[in-house]
Amino acid sequence: MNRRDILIIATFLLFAGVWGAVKLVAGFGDARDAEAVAEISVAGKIVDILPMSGEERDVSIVGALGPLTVRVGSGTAYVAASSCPSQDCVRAGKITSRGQCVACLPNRALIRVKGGATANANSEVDAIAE
Amino acid sequence: MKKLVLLSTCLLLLGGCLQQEEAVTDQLVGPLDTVSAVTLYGSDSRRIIDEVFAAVSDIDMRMSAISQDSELARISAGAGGPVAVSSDVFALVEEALAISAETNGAFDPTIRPVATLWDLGSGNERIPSDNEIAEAMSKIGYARVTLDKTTRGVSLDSLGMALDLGGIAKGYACDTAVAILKKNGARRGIIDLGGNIYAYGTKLGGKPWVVGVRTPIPGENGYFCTLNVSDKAVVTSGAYERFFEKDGRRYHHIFDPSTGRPADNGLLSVTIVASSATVADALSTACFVMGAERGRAFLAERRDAEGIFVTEGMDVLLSPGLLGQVEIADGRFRLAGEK
Amino acid sequence: MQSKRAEKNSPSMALMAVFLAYALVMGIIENRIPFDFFVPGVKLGLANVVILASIYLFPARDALKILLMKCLLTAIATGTGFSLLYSLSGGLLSFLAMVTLAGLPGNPLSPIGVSVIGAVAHNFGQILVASAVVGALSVMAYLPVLIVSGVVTGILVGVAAKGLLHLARRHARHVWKKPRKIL
Repeated sequence: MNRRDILIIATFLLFAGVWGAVKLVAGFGDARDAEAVAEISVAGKIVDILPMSGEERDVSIVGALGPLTVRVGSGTAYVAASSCPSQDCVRAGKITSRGQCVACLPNRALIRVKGGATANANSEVDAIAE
Repeated sequence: MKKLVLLSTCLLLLGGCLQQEEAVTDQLVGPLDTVSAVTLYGSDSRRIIDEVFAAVSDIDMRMSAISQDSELARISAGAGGPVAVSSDVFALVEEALAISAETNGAFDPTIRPVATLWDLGSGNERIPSDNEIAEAMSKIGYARVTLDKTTRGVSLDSLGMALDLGGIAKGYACDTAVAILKKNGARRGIIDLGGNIYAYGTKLGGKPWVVGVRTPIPGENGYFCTLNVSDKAVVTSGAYERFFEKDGRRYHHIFDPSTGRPADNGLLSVTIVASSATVADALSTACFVMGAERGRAFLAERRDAEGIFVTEGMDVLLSPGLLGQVEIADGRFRLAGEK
Repeated sequence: MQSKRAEKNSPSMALMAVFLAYALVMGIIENRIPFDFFVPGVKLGLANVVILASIYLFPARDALKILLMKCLLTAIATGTGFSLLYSLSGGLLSFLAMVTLAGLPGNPLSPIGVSVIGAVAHNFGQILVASAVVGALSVMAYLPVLIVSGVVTGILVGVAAKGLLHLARRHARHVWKKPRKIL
């Protein structure tokens, strides 16, 4: 190993180190660029779109059977209250990332997360059997 | 030297052009009483997904036990006389009955009168009396369905009986979707019909898909274990999905046809892995009813399906074919055999 | 160009076979060691010891033959069509870099330096293809990790190749008519 070799190696490592540090601080750009939003639709028509970040706020929507309250904020979205008999949507819990959704079928309401990172960016699974 | 540069440049470019593989995901809300999602890779994905959703909607319409016009509703209303059905409905009924026989009635597509009695999910749930349960049970029995192959006629032997393919319809829709994917030459993707998963092909790079199983605790959205699968269906049935509680006891939606009550075997959930989603769907219910011991013995004999059984004691029992293939992701659950 | 070619003999069939066998076995072994956490198809590159040695010992054309056959055979033995794509793209880019650098007059870089650049180029070639396949540049985010791993494996491979070349100089003069002062 001669001096030039060491120079090359040092340059690479420095470059990698700087790039890595920048990424760590600035975040992995493309995954976080688009903001995550909760898209709420009833019977296929979008009734509201809210950013998932920020303080939690309630949105009242009218489904096929009656009213629903959707709570969006702090990176999550969920059905806080619903006029449906089985309350499956309330029990479904919170959604946080692109690709996840909560539906109230009797009310024909659907909450979807659009934009932002997918859950799989951090976890390993491609699908969950339930 | 120049040739080398040329060659390598060509190969690099070729690699880039070969396949622009981007994932396309879309959801379908409503059919089969749930939300379906399909993720596909490849250039024709959107069109293929549309075809899949059209097929799923069609299956829902024709096999729904609830809709008035469905073929099944007509059978149930048929007051004993045979109703001729389309060939795929007939084939599915045949398969459902075959599985019923193989599982000794643990899976029974005639269970509807019992389910209606308990009425879970309506908001009017209550615990029926023994008499009511006995009466409902007099209207169930897979052996009481008569099939006529030549006319494709299906009949139930008494009034009040009903045929419900709900426990197998999602699996069947899943297999239909897989056939559409194969027909169109799709290379890789994930089908998720209301939680019935089919891992089609492999991931980018040839690795198998990683499928998680939902933690069988109500209110929790995560997964407790993962397994690597390729070209297999993964279907879970659990007590956590739909239930009501009264006097400290939980009454869930998976009924034992031999007792007319929710299956009480100390299980939280059963997950079946098989090449046929139809089989996986039916067996997940059947094995839940059978319990861990009988269920595992049953699967050991069958060979076309493997299972994961989770007990109320948080133990995870595997059928022999899955040993070593399942990784626990949630420390509260113990893989049986491990300390 | 002419005088350089006169210094190196083309390898005999037997020698080529030995080198290939080594590369194949290493390829199979390293297939067992999962290395592609972020970028599909990325490998450790242990087989490159013989590729690097070939670049110093034989004419470029023969070294290239060994590389191509190694990629093909390894892919047949262990991988899918996709892994062939990745190994070819990485391998060729790396080969290009190494041949150029090893051929520089005056040998500014020792085999270790050449190997490091080759390894980094190999990984870079692979994520280039991965980006094209995935259809997004997001895979590039893992470049720093790949550079570091390239440096590490490059050093290892370089040291091993250097050892091999020493042996060749001492015991196999016929392979190499006139050893150059690279060691």
